[in-house]
Amino acid sequence: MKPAFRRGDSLGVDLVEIKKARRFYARHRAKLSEILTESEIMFCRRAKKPYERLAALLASKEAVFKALSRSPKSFTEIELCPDGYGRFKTASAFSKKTCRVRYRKNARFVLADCYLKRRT
Amino acid sequence: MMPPSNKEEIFIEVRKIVAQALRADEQKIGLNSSLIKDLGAESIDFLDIVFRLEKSFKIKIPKGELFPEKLLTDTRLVNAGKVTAEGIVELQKRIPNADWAAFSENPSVHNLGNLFTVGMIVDYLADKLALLKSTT
Repeated sequence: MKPAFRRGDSLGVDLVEIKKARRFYARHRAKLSEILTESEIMFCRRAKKPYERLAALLASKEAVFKALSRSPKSFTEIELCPDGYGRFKTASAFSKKTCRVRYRKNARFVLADCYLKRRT
Repeated sequence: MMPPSNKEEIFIEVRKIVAQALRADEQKIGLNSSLIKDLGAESIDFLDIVFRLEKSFKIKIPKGELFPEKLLTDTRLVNAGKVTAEGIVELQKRIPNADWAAFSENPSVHNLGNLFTVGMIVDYLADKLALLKSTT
């Protein structure tokens, strides 16, 4: 049996409190384009509670950056595309790795994880 | 209104912003208050603080310039939970006024959060505003 986590794979995890995302959305709505792409903003705005999707996106992006082990130039460097099942696909290409991003939420938090798996 | 220019004025404004962003008591925030350890800041709070500072000081703060938190996940700079010598040199460039002597005694990544202080923001803004003033 192949090991699930191999040398060269990496993992990133992040947690965002929904209450904080709500305040952030209310205060910085006009500046979202500095941290989200246009399609990510639309993904938020289409929801009844846009701040919950904002929390999911921010937690997921942080998780991706942590898994990448490097400092991003900007938050829009990685674009996340929702698949409707609590997962995101990354529009950016990772030449030597496959990227899986998923998030789960409860009433208080969104927890996101990113698994970068080395291609064989 | 003109943004504050000396360190004392900058500190007063930063303290107000940090207190509002983190819902903390303004009077309990000092230059040495750690944003993570003392005030409970998380990743979304760092974004919130940066946006508030940009608005208040009328400046642009590129990602990672004020809070170099992603350095912590760089494998060259952190090994087995400890910041390497190369990592300390790199971080010192970013946060020159932190208490590096104390940190070097136990350079665990868990202690790095202590270096992100209110004073660090004040120093960053004082340098940034002075640079902007000298170029205009």
